[in-house]
Amino acid sequence: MELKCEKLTYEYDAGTSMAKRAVDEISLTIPSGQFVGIVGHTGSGKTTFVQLLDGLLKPTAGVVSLDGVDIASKGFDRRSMRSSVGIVFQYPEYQLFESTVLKDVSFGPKNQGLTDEEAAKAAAEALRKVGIEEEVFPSSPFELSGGQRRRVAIAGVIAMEPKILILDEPTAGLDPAGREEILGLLSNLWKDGMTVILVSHSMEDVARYVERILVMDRGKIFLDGAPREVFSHSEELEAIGLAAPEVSYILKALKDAGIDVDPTITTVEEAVKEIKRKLC
Amino acid sequence: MDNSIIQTNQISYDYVRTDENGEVESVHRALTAVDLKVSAGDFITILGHNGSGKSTLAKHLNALLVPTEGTVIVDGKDTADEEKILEIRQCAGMIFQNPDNQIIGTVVEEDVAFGPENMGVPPKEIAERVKESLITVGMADYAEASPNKLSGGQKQRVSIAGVLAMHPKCIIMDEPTAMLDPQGRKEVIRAARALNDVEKITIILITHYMEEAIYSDRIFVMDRGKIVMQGTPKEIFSRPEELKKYRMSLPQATEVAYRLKKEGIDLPDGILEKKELAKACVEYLAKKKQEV
Amino acid sequence: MLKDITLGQYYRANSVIHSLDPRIKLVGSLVYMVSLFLFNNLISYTAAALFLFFIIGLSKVPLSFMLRGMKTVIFIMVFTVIYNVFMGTGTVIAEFWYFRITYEGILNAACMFVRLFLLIVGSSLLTLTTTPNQLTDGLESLFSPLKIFRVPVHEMAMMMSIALRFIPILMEETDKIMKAQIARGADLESKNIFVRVKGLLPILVPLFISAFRRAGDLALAMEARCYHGGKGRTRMRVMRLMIRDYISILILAAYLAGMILLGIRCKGFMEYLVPELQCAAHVVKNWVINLF
Repeated sequence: MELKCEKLTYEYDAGTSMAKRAVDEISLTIPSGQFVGIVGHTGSGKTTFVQLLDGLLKPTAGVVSLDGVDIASKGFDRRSMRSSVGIVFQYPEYQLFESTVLKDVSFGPKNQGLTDEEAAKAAAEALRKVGIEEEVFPSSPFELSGGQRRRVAIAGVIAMEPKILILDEPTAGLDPAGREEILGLLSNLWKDGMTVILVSHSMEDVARYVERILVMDRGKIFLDGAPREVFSHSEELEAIGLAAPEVSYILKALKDAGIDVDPTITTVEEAVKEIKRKLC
Repeated sequence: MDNSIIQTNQISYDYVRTDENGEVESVHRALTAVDLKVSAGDFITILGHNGSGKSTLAKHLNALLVPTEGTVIVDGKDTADEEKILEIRQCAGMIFQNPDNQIIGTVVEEDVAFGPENMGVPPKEIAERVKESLITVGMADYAEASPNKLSGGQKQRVSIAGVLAMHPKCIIMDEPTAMLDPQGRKEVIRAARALNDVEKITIILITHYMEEAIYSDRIFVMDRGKIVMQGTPKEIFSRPEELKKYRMSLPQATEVAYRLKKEGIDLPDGILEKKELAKACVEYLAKKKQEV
Repeated sequence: MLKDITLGQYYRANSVIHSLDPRIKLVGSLVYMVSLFLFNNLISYTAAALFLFFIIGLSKVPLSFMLRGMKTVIFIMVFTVIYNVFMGTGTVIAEFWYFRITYEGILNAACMFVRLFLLIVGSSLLTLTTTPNQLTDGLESLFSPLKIFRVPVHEMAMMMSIALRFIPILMEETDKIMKAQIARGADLESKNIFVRVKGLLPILVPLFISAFRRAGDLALAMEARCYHGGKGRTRMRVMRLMIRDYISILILAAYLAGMILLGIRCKGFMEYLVPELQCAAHVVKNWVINLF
């Protein structure tokens, strides 16, 4: 499913003297099956932008379309859209409310009109995908560990089988291993054909996993490209309060010390290979 | 002479859950025989995965929790002594994870004044302390702002000012950066290091960002309620296999060095920063040339 | 819609009214409100309105800003006017079905409208020129004599100021939870009332859990900063009456005396109040009789 936006604009307090443009005429296309990372400092408009993509906010101007159909148009079925685009908010575990894990994850599928059994089946499938064992299904979501709860919440969205999955800072507050688990999970979903849009503060994470990075600044797309290309603009990134992944600074330090390595490398794996090549 | 400011002696803590009739339903041991000694003026980092008992330990260090077994001595006072509780809390301030849930005042300066007000400090002195503390954390311009309008990093700095105004000897920071963006994280860590360097305040930082740990004097790693590793950053980060077992990772430069080593390149242990790595690589090349 | 409410909103400005002691402003507002019920004639209304606009002028709060806040209460005012127009008794002007428009009714409605208008503008002036904190401090101080009767005045003031701080945070949170559940297909726009009520559960449960979590966190943070109730607590800002406050008291007293005089001179006052008083006396009498 292709997601496209044209001159997408959103203003808070639109029409008043306090109007503030959070998203400013963004036009871009996200083809089916892409793994996209959105980075930008707090207040750059990332969260507003992804909420527009999911139709949770109504654009002040511009259009979001799914496979060419405007999602704001009259004939468009909003509820079926929920099945095409799923969104996982920051700290999604705080939105759990049911008495058992399985029931909570079934909430979405049931809203899609599935019967209880069908919904439970979809929920179980989603829980398996996020690595939650079956014995946990009947327990209360509030008895789980932080990382588990996060995964259950993500399962709640995956269970609706969206074609496009948007996640806002899904690793916030987790320990390193927990972060790895979530990112690995996203990578698997993407390999299974899902379009994944990851909003993140961690340059290391996006550098490692995504195919394309959108850098946002003051409501606009500041840079758009493959990680290596985007991170080659490290000075521009620093100017808007961001940075390249730590690895590229490590490589720069090596280059400054007289070892001729390629400083546009963005992942640890590649960096190790590159340094090894120069040292041997 | 013993200059320890905080010392825990074999402390254990049980979370006891009772049913409606007040009968014990389950007991969960969150801490087991923890020995921690912190010298005055040190910068200590405690690492550990979610649920490893870090926060429970932190709450023991300023008498928010009292151990089930063992004793906690803060600045020479036992936390089990009810009469000393206020003195202990004044001496060992605490910063929590969620920036929103620890600001009490609706205006920044009023929040900073909250601690000294509780201590019964005379009004004039409170105003001075508030001003000083806000200057120290670089938030003096926001004295009259509403906390709701601040960024996460700024809110945490206000909280730090709030603790500073109580003139503590030690500040315990329980994952102060977990909910912040990289910019906010930098602000908070910078403030914490400055307090340690300039004001000589003992800092106990709890985190799971490895990069924040590399400048500390000592690191403790926790797992399942126990301290499982301790040492200087160099010592700790020279044991990557163990760290990974405890769901931790390595600072990026250390990670690169570790992987190079695994590939057969003989670099020294305990590289923490990119400059060290660059130096080590240059030395490696020089050595290799000599051999040839 | 919620954004439009200027009632209860603070307008930052540097004026005499802003710098007055909150207690004076509280008492002043009360006196003003009471004064509006002391009379029922045109001259007194004009005098009261002039007095109010004089104060607004001093406060430097733009009139347009105040009127914007009236939008939300206009409904109540319109309702009152309509009720009074149709439900009056006296000289009938027009009559249809159950309704009777009377001369007295129209007059009454007009008076009611002006009175309500002055009442709302007057009270919003209090919140526009006084920060929520000053308000709570003022209330705490005014009610502090009640401590003798074991009324937890300090605790109530503390609760109020915490509520003020957390309302915006919880509103934001509600918005987030609503969006998250809508994204999971929750039906919040259905016309079916049962579906809608059922749809509230996925929002209310997380909201309550979150509120309790925040409350727990906050209690811990307060305790960590030595909070132990109002005992032995000092305040950074001590409220002390200044010359301008004494002058305000004089002006207020003069205003009240003037209004009473005006009310008596213009007769409306007694005529209006007598039946009212009689009625009240009757109610009290009945109540006392019933009691025995």
